[in-house]
Amino acid sequence: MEITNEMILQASTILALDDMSSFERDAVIAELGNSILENVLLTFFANQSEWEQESFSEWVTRHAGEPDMLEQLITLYPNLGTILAEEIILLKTTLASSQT
Amino acid sequence: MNGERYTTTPQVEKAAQFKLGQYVLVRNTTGGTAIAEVREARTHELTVRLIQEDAKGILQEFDIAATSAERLTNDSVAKVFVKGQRVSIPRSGGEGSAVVSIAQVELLEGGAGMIVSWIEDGKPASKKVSLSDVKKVSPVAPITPVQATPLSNAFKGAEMGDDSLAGFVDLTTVTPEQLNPNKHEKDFLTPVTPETPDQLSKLKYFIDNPLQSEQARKDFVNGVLNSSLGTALLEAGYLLEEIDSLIKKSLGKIEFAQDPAKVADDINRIINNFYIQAQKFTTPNKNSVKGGRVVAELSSMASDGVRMPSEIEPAAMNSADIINNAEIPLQPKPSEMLVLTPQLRVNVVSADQPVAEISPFAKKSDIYSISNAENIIEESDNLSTEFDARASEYAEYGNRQLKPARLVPEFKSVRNLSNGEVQLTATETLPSRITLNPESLTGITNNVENTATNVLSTESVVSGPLVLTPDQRISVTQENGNFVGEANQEAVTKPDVPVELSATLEAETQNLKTGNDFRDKLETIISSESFSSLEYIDYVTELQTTVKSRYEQVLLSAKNNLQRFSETYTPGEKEKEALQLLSNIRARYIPMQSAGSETGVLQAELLNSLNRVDTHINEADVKKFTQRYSETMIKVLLNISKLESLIIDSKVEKKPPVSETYRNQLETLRVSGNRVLATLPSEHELYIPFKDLVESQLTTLMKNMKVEDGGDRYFIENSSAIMVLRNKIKAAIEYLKTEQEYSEFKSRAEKTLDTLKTTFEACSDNSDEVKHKKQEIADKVREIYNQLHTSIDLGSGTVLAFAVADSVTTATNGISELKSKVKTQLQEVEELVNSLPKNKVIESDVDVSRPKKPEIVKIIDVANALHRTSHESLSNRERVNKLLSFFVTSKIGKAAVLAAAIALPSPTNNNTEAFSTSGMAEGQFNGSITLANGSSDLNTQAIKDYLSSVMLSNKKSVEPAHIFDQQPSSPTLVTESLQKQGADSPEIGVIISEIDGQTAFDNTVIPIQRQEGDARPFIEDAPLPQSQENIVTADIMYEIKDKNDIFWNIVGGKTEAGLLPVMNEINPKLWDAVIDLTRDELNNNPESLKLIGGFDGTKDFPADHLEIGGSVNLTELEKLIEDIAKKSGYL
Repeated sequence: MEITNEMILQASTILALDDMSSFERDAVIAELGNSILENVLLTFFANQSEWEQESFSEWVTRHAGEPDMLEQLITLYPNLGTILAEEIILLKTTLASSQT
Repeated sequence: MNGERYTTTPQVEKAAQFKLGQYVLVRNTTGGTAIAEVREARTHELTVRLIQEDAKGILQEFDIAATSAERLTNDSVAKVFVKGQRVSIPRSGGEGSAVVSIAQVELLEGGAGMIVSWIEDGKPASKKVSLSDVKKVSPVAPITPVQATPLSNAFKGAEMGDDSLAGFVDLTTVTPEQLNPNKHEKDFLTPVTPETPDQLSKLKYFIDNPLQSEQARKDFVNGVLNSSLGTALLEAGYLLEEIDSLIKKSLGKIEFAQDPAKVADDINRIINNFYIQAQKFTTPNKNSVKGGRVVAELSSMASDGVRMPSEIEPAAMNSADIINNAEIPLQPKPSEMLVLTPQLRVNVVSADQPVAEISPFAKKSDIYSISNAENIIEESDNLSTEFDARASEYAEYGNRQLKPARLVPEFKSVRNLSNGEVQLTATETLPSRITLNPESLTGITNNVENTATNVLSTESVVSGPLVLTPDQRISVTQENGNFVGEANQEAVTKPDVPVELSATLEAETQNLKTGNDFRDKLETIISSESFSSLEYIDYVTELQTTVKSRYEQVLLSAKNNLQRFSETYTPGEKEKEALQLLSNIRARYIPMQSAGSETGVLQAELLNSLNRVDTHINEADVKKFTQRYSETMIKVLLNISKLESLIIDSKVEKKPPVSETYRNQLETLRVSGNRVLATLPSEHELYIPFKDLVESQLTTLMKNMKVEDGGDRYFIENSSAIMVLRNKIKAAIEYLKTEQEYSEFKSRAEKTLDTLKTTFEACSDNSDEVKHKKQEIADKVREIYNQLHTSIDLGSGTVLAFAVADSVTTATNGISELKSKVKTQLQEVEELVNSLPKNKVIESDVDVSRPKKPEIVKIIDVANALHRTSHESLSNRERVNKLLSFFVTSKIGKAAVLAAAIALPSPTNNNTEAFSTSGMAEGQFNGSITLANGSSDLNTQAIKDYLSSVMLSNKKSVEPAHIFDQQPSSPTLVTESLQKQGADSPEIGVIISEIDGQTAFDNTVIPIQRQEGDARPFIEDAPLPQSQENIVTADIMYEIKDKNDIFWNIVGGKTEAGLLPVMNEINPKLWDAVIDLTRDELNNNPESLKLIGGFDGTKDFPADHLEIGGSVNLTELEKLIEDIAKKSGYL
């Protein structure tokens, strides 16, 4: 199954992100992002030692604000990418089932 | 001027053999001989600083004026001595061997001299000898900085009974002639007096020459005094990191507007306090012990439980005594036992004094509590950073006698410390040993802190492998009996080689042995004629247990001994290697524990096979599984061995000096500074000062800091100024970033405010309650407006020119506070507005913190509902919450929104109501979104692909740019090749090329590959795999942007292009060679040059000329490097 760029664009159109003010868009992104990410990080941390967590946090702190921070993180921590994907899949599944 | 660089004639080819701080005799221009101290020693080059006698006959340190600079000739460097070096001297019974105990050259009548010591008639003796008396010297100066005991080095050679002069080298004697005092102007900071310990000499100068009232001017104090004082403090033993704040807190608070005499008094008092404090670091403890003296230092931090570097000098090192008495026989007391308990009770057991406890100290420094050996590791992490920073400073500064003690036992000992007690026992048979007698115990009680520390410094745990001289053979006792071996015999026969007592070494050998043992064992089992499933079970269990315990040990050892990058620390090469290997081993080993892993499956298969006892055991299967399992586990075992040896190596390797850490920091600052500068509009009032900071000041500083231009020395001499500048730039960057964020926030806030205002004004309800609310809203809105419009002033004043880092930081914090304040107020207003009667409020797109679109709200609600609480600890949650704020601006949000959006059911599935409010036509969805509607056939891989396409691919093609604000970015790399992703790695972890009985792994090359769970956060700016899409087709182009983008840096991975993947495959030791060969190829082959591009082909050596604005084809460059490396056998 392939997901094309067009599909992504279209998906965002569905949400009418275009019509939103930048403020609201940011809010959407922040809130949804945080919501997903919180679970992701908690899951990720669950299997990490204190030491690893610290080193991870340190990295994030240092690279915060870099536009490609997440890409870098997923590269450095492939597990994180997997967990993120799983989290999103879970969200999708839940969403879909809640709407059927 | 701080010393002149002399270039030696070719005869002195190995100037590098001279050590920093060594005293050498040099011949000056007028033919006289002078004592000089080596400041810098490189091949063919010595930088020395002359030490001359002043009018009073006191040695003074003079800088050599440029005019008197002269090439050092072979003859000039007549004699060099280092502490611990063996020399032959005239003794009572003729010429004999002695050991240099104080290498510092002192003036004697008729020439220079130094203190040597030896063993005569079984007793230590020492005297001061004239340099000209020393006829022969051992060729190597075998000194290890840390000496674990008094009486160590001084008698090492002599004690071995090695009085023969075999192997000694005759010196071409240049008799020291009358010193020829040069009349140079005295430097501000130069005197050395023999009575003052070396480290304090500079600081002492301030005491001897107090600040005069006419000097008590702000410019003088800030400009001249501060930096000189900083250097003096550094040398006196203050921590580099604390000097700045010390000076700031004291001198920074001086009011210059008052009476200059009083100002001068104040300053002198402050400096005096520094001096007194510094004496604690360096002054020998006065509690002398018969026959020996334990010397150690305390720092200001000692009272807080942080131990500072300590030095144990040989007993006879009391120079004053020795100078006055030519020969002092030393009488060490016989065997006593020093018992160190984890609580740092120091129990000295001897015949007449059973036990002395030093509990107050234990109370004060719970850091030292080893009672819970596991806890130590956590606690000592910070400590070790402190120590290592300190060690680097000393290494940097050349004060080699000091090395920090670190309370981190070898991993083996940590694990085995059941009750935490370590006993160090001097063995009866040895002639000299740690001597602590009852007298010293009185001292302990009287001066608990000092002595406790001293005692501990003497024998507790030193950093690095415990270095013991032969006369210190000890056995470390613990609950389960002796475990640490005696000093090894080979080393004993070589007195110059410090005996390493290292549990890790043992463990390493043990590991190799175990690996082979297991292999042998398996062979035996397999080849045995009768098949016994029990044997296999035993074998597998044992293997598993062994690997597990080894793994835990090495993990512990790594935690204790390896350090990551930090503000003050840059790991050494071996250390980095070890960190990477550690990461690989973890990544390899942890997954093995899960049932789903290959190993897990293997194990299960094996057990299954074995469990079929009743029916039928497939012997072949069992053998096969066992073999496979065994090989996998043994690989881990061998990797663990490798890591252990790396850890050991990393402990003794020369760590990058503090200046290196600063270079790294400055580089990071440069990158982020440039980033900020790029986004800063040139009309910004701070643009010019900031540009100056980043492009001029920082660049100059980095240039000065370059290693090849003597940057290390520059750093020492200007450390205070460098720190000030660094902090300034840091603060400036931080400020501008915050300001930019704020201005974005401000415009958003203003919009929101407008909307809120409209909404609120549109409310027609005028009931009392609503009126009241409206009034409140109006007040708040006005207040917010005011806040938003007065904020600009924050950046003005002192902040403007980024003059003082502190005030800039204050301003930065001010902005952040303002922002959060306004944010809170906005929320309050929003709540108030929302609480207005709904029917009266005109529906409007109120831009507030919560999204209003129902479908989005729904997604978010669902997402929130997924929140789980069971699987994490509270501390994890706190940590995560902290981290979340760092992610807000990243694309995670976008990716999540989009991903979620795609998950929405398509309208063809009767679920269109979710979109009804968005006003979308149904037709738009037809057939486009094919991702399953949350059904069970959701394809994980598709999601992953999707994620990587969103996040990893070329922005322009994938990111719906018109939807989101463009994030600032520096896409220097147009594309970048994809390194092997974890999942694709055929082999996880370190590749062990061939496992045979003997050499199981390649000792030199560790190919690091990424894999699941492999994190390399230790290494900043690690090259990252990028787009998956462009790997095959597009060549990777790198745009040359600045002066740093030179060929060497690009290949060496020091530019934003990151490290070329092929370089990862090449042993870093060979990098230089590869780079040189590649450069030659480029210089000689116009075709290659053209293919790669970016070079100025008109130059003689085009490879050295990359043009800014040009592009280098990294793909081609990599190919070229690969070819060359293959040809040269590097790959």
